[in-house]
Amino acid sequence: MKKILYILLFALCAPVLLAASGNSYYFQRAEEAYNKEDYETCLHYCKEGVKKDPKDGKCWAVIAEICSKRQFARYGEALQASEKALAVLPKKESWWRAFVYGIRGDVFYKIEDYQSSKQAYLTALSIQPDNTTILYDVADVCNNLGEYENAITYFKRIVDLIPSKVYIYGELANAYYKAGNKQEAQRYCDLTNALADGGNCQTHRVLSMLAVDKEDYITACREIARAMFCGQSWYEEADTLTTLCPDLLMAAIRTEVDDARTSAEANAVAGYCAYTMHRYMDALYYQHKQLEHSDSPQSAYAWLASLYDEVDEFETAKNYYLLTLKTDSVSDVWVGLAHTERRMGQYEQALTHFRRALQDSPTEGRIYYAIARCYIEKEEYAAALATFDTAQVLLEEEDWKLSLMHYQVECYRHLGDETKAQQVLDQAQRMRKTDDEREEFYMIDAHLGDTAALIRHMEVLEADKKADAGKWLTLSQAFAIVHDKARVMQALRRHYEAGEYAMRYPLRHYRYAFLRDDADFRAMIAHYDSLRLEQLTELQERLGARDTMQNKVTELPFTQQGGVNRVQCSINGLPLYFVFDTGATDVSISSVEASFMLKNGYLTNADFMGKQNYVTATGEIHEGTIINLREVRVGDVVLRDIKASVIKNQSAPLLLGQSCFRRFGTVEVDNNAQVIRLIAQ
Amino acid sequence: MKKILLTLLVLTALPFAMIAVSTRDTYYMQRAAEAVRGGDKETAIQYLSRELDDNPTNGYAHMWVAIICAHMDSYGWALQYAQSALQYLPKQDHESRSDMNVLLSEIYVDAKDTTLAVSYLEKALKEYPQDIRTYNKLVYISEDGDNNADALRYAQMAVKNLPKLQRAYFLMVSALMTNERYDEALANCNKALKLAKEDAKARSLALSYRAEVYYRDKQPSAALADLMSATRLDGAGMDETLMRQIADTIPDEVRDTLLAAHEQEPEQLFWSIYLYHFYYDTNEFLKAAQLSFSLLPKYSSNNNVYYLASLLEFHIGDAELAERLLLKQLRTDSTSAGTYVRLEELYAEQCRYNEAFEMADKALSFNPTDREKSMVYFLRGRLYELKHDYTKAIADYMAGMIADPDEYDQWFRIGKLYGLMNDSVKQAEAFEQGHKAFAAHGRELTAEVYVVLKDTAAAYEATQKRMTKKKSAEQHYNAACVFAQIGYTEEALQHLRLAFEYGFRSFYHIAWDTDLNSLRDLPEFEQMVNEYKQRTEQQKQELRASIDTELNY
Repeated sequence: MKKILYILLFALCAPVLLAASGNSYYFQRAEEAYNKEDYETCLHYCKEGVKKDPKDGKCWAVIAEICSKRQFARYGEALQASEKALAVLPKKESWWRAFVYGIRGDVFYKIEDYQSSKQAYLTALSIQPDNTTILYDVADVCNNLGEYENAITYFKRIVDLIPSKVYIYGELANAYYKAGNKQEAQRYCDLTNALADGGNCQTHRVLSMLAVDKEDYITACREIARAMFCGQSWYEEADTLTTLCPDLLMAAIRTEVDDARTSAEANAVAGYCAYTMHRYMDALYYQHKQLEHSDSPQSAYAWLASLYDEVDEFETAKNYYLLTLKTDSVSDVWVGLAHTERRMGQYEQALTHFRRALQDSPTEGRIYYAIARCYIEKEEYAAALATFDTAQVLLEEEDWKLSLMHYQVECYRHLGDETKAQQVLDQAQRMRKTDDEREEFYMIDAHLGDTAALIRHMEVLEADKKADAGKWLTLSQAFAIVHDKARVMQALRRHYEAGEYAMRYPLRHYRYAFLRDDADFRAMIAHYDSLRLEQLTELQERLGARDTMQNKVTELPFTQQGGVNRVQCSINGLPLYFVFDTGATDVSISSVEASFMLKNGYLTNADFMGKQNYVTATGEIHEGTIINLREVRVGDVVLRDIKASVIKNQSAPLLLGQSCFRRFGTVEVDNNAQVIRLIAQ
Repeated sequence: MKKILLTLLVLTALPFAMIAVSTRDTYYMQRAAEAVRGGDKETAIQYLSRELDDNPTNGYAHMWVAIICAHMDSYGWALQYAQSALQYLPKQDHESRSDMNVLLSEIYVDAKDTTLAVSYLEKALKEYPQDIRTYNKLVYISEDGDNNADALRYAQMAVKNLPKLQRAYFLMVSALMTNERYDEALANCNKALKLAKEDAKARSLALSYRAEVYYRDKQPSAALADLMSATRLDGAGMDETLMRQIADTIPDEVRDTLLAAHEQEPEQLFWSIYLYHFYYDTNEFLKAAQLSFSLLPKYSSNNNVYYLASLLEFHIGDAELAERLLLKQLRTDSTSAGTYVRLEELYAEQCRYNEAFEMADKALSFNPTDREKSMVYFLRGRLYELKHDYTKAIADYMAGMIADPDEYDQWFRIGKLYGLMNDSVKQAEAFEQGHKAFAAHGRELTAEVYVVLKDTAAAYEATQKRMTKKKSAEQHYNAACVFAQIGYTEEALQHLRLAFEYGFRSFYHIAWDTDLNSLRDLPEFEQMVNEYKQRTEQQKQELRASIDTELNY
């Protein structure tokens, strides 16, 4: 169908850059480069063009167009070029003038000046009132401005002009929903579902929101999962559902990925969703699946590294970082590796790798911040303070500055400079707002020794169901600074119960040193660590091929008939009743069954292990023939390649003998419960 | 989209020769026609696009693009081209204009906008009142919307405008039946019969309609006679539902009539099919199974095999035979998710965990429908529950609800499991969701839900209320489960016996069903199960002997 749509689109839409007579040489060369998506060359020719002829409006327009692209992001230059283009383009070149106003609209949109963007788009629209691209842009910017009724008007004009633009019905559904008209939103979703046979991404999102309003969380999760898998922005809605029904949302993601289990992309999406929901084990599962089905594993390696770091498996994380670095040597990966090494206590390696990251990103304040933390953990406080100074210059956000300050306080106190420590604390206090619950203040309050404030933070956090679990870890550190064992443990419990890990951290980190030999503390950490290990084992089981011998005990019901015990088995998929006989050497079957199996494809000639002439040309099987049973299912257990003999006696019983049972460690017959217990080796 | 496709098939089947006049016979139109005839719709679209480049006002090109796009499920484009076709098609070509209006109406029916759909159909009627399909759609849309008066009005218009067309009278019959005006409906059937003259198929159709009128007018014998005549005339099975309804009213007469027909014409498949339903409905499961096996060589669709497998497992107690049947079907078609789901079900009933899990995986990998997907998850969830792995069970129950949101009663099952995991917060949340879902659907809680909520009185009452006039094995079994769980042992045993009497034979199910745990130590329970097991053994042997001695199944 795609092909057809392309043909139809081609028939309906004009190409962006029209080849026309009278264009300058430079413009024509620029156009050739543009059509090959070689924008640098295109820009070069256009710039040459306007040098030769500053009144070449089309060249100015193309400069504006290229500079406005996100990959170039030279928005100032784009606006200047567009102004020059508008100054020289004659009125009769209406298409080009509208195009340039459209570019201005795009630039203002990208810098989030939606009013100016709208104005520019509206001017473009006044020149070309039936241009559906511009109509869409105006509608979209109206949406961003919260002018939903206007957005609806423009979207409707598009479908009046081109009813086949099915995705616009989805946009209408969205705009109606935002405008508070749920009935119309539902109507447009229905219409889109009918026209696009199953709906599109936007309608899935709107349907999810409509379902949330009706408290129909099954539909809400189902629809948002569908939206996620077609790349629709879903964070807001998923965030709501993560709080309301996280398990159901995860189930919805699972049902979607089950449909596309061999798709690397689907697994990557599922992995990402699970990660945002702090379901790290699920995320690991899907990222491993991504790796299994992906042609280019780098993205999966990077994810796996980060996720193994989250679940405290630092050695594995490090290995994945190193694998990532083989092909993708970017700053972020070096930083990730260095963080893992720091957590492992490998400070020298961590410092080397942080410095390596700085080569690519020399102005990244967060890397200096991380280096300084390494120095603190190495107890090199002076070096830490010097590095924090650099970080402080480069980090602009207030939260980062605050976070940095409490470390500075720690360093000054270690160096015995209480005056400087107090100065930093005073500076932090000046940044405090009323009822400030930023986690950075947990640490500041701890350094101030304000236990009452810390308890208040804890109460606020308890009441906030949507709180980030990471805050509990910070709070536990704050209580550690004031040596409040009970609350340290309470905060850590909350952290772990919210699905976070970091079990090694408190055992190693200097702030928890006073608890390191505390039996309660160690027992609590050991408890949660054992749960973590169980989950990891479970993950391995999920990932590995199901090894059916892993079931330790299999119970096989039997019936007694004529003094013998009969059990049901299936041989190469054919269910048969066997006499359970531990005295028999082999599995044996009568020639009747063997002939039937051969005739019906349950056995092939390749399964006959005896000489060829044991099977006659008519298919008759001679006594003593040994066959290989490719698959014998006994209860839950699948055994492969079992030797069996064929007895040429039509009434011979089917015997299940030693060649089958020696695969098990122990075989118990429980006559009371009428079960045979097979205990795997 | 089914309705649309049916109409489109008719439309595309129209002779493309109609294009061979005026603007219809340009070079590109002819090439497009050739491509359509060859089934190459993409090429047809390419030629039609070229035609539109040369001649943008050629309404016929617009019309065919609309038809082809709709046929290719590209309804947005179909909508656009149908509208432009109406703009450019010659005013005097009423038939084509009517077709485009009908196409637009079908798109809007699918979009659940019946108001717009009706308005396009009325436009179609104005353009070309000789098309019975238009009346047909109007009548059905009206009936769907419970506008019976409108349905009758459209049917009357059809008869008035097309007095010599049999289908117009059928529309009248349908509309009159909806309005419970049976005498007039009969009169219209007779008119349709008269119009059919010697045409066997047309007579058969008229007789089928008359059978339905007789049945609704409480004359089942007359209905049976007409239905038998209609079936004979047509030479193919016709209305199974009606036959089953008649069999409910006059079972002996139906059995005698069908048996006589089957004996006289054993080669006719439809008598066997009717008999199968008859036996099934009257709990003569052995006969139904025997008949079904005899039908398999001619009638072995996946669905029929599933029915038979389910019959074998549930009513004959022969899960082994059911398994062989399904495995054999798998060898014929190894990519059917449905077959894997049924095998999963069968293995799950026997607690063959690994095989069931394997089948679940297979089913999920072969593009299951939402319904099948939900079955896969629920069955697997139940197995996890039996293994006391409640976390996985809950995850699967949730996935099942996602696949089929109508299964919202699973919230209570999930709540129960959270309870077993001592997570009272999540249990309360799950119960709350369940209550909300039942309220949103306007449904009362079921007996099973009351059991979970430990409301014994309500569970008792809901079970009694559910026992309808027509009893079934499943109904009694479910009642036994409810009563066993709320401590009404006597009632539970009584209903269990009734379940057996009505044909319940799934002994594997009884073996693991924890709902019946309170009965297990009772001697009556064991005695009852053994008694029916013995009877079943005879039945199984009889069936196996009658179907195949060579182990073909």
